[in-house]
Amino acid sequence: MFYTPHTAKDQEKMLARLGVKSIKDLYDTIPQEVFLTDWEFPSGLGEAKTYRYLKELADKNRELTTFIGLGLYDHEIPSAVWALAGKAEFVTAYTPYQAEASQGMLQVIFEFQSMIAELTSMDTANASLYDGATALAEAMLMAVLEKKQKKVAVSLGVNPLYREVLKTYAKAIGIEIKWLPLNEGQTVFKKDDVAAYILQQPNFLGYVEATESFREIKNQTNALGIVSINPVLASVLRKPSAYDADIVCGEGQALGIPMNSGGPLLGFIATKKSLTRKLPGRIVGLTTDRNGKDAFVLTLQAREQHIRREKAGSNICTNQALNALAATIYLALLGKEGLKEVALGAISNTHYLADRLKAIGVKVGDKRPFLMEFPVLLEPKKAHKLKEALLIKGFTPPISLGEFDRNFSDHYLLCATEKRYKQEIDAFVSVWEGIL
Amino acid sequence: MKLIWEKGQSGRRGYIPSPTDTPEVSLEQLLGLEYRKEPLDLPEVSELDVIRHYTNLAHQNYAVDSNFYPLGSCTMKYSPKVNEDIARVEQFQNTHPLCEEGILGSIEIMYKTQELLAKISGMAAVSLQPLAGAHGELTGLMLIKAYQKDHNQLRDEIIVPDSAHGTNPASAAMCGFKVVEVKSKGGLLDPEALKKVVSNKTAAIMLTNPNTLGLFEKDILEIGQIVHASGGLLYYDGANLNALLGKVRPGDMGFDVMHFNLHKTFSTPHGGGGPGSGPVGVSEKIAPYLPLPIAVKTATGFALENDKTKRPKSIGKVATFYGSFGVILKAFSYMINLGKEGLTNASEMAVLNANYLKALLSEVMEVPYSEGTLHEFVATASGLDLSALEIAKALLDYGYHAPTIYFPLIVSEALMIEPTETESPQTLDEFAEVIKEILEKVNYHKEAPHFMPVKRIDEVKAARHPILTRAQLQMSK
Repeated sequence: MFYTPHTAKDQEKMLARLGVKSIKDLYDTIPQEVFLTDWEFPSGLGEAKTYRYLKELADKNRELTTFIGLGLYDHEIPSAVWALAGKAEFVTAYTPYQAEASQGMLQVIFEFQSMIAELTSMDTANASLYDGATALAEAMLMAVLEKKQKKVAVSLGVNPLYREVLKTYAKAIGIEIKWLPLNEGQTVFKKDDVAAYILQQPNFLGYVEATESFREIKNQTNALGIVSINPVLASVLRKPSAYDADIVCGEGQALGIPMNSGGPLLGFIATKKSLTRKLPGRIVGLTTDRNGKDAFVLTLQAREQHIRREKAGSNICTNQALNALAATIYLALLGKEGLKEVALGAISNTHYLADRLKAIGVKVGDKRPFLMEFPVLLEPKKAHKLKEALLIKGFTPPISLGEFDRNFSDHYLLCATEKRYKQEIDAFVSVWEGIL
Repeated sequence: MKLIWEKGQSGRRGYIPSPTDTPEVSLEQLLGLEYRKEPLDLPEVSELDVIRHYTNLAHQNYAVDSNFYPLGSCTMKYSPKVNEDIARVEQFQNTHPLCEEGILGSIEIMYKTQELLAKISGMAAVSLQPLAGAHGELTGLMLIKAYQKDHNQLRDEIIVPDSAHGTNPASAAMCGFKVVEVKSKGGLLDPEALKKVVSNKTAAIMLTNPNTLGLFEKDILEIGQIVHASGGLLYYDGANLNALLGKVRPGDMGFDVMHFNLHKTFSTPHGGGGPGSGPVGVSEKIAPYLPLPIAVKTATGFALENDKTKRPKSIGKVATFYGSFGVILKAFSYMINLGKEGLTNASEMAVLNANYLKALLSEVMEVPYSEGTLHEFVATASGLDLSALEIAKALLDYGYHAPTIYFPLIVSEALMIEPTETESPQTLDEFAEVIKEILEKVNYHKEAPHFMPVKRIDEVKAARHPILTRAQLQMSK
């Protein structure tokens, strides 16, 4: 299939205007040695057959009833979210460089920044980043640049997938990471000369960290405090500003974005007023037009790569605008009460699941209060049998944490969002009952 | 201007989550000190309030589906609707990435996308993990750093031409490299100038080809020899790959590492600024360093390879999961739908359109580096009675998105124009006529735009007194 509108007559007319015989003449600056005469590539299927073929591949996926998370969650998505976010005027626009022709998307991003600032209890947020892991890496980089100190302390309670990304960035940039161990599911802080302390709340095991110890270590040192949060659970958890966080970031997928085999996702980052000009990426501000009317525009661009080039703090030039739009619509719909209800529904379901598993003798890790996720201890052999049985019945098996973190080799992670019914949880538990 | 909050009433609800039927946990009891007591300042609006608010905002946006969008370097081509249909299929959307058994179809698509991108580019291997073009660049530089270090090379310089995208030097600096800028000659990289800056400190050179002027670097093979002979690598910025599909491949030109912009070349919509996708392609010798996991073919099907013992040189992970799968899916759909003939045709018509529009505009504007441009060209407003900015704003009044302005930096008053292949010559004729009209009514257009939702915006005020959230707006009043 071609999406080019040119008729044979059009091409003839255009070539005549250019005074060349054939299209090939337009490529005559390419050296003959490398100019392709032929290349190996399949012929086009056309629209209908493309759709059919991809539908066949989609059928190789399985829509399992999801009882896992680890940074990506199966929440309800109101129909209105993508009915609006799917509008072509948003979908087929680009970064709002021409503000007068982009007031729609600019206002959306301003609202997004306002909502993220509210959820994170910070003063300012940017227009979004790629995902939760890279948002945390950018936060680390911000602290390193601000403190001119290439060492950070990172809790081992941070999602192990995020820790891997931090390690990759740190290695390339030359940052040393000191790992803060967990004791009984809690981060143990140690006084150190670092640019930042990095915590995840709740940590990857689902446990709620005692934030007072974070506040205390911040008081004792000159470091910045960075917290990676879950935006749904943030509605019920102590505000990060109350325990003196300076940068708050996280993954926004839970806010109306489908799981999509892992992407695209939505990173967010927010900070205090004093660090606003150190934020990476796009930021939208409110100003006026020449008649004094309110108008939105991309601002504080002197931070960015297209102005500062090699002196920029970050190379980010895009954001996840469409997913930020979806999250904004989601938060507008759910509103003041709805988001807390989602959190409460998920926490109640997760606790019910944990109680049911305990009742049939599963070792549930409950040393600390947990919210939407919790670990269980399983023998690998049993875990393997269980996995097969769960897949047959259409459930996701628990995440084997040993694959990501050697310290948790017999630990398996579970999650139940507000989307789950009691009946589904009971059916899930009965598969366990049959195996254990 | 009213924000969504102002459309609501205290106590109004937009979406009520389905009731849960498990016993309710007492959060205050469970959390104690860790409980958030303060209410969230989120909107209280009905679903219809939300629908109207964002529908009206959508109307205040120019987009490819409604307006010609010749934004240079961004390849704002039409995004076929079939790709959107496919991306909405539930078996793709409702699958968690950490349950491999549930995403076998997705993994097969990842593998096949890697293969097709390798064929198009002539590279040996591809990773889909980077989440945007700039992220692909950063990943590419991490690969270069790891490779050079592995070969005991203390090479800390990256050479970048003065016409390069701003992300090139920024990505290099982020990775701890020193940036060495090399001046272009006649719009092209001059091998003689290059020889003067290449040394045993050169880790790599980053090139866009065709470059940001739309010119193919005709000395690319000599440039490759110079850099390779010194032990450096060649990085290809794939921003302008749309000019070359089926014509020449970065791998054949000698590039070792590159990134693709799936949202440019492969038609995935730009989404108002993202999500994009920036896979990296590498030559044989760099392949062992690619990020993990990566999709592989096995005896029985396809799988995600994540075994560090099998790939000890891997730089590790650069994203939470496996890349922007939803975007990758649309790009895959585009590639198999168009196929060899369709992709080649896309490049040819992109180059034909750009050359045709350049010929039309050359009648009224100067195009400083005009000879031999491919898919885009850079005109200048210097010497005209309107600045590049004023022409850009006037175009908005006529229903056109403006070209990229004031870039590349080596052309003053630059207007960088990339029509893409999906525009008809009639659209280009009309656009050229409008430019002529604008240049005839100078005084009127100095005040442009006249017909947009807002007039010319005070950007200085925005930066000097930043108001970035609703709370800051309330405080400023």
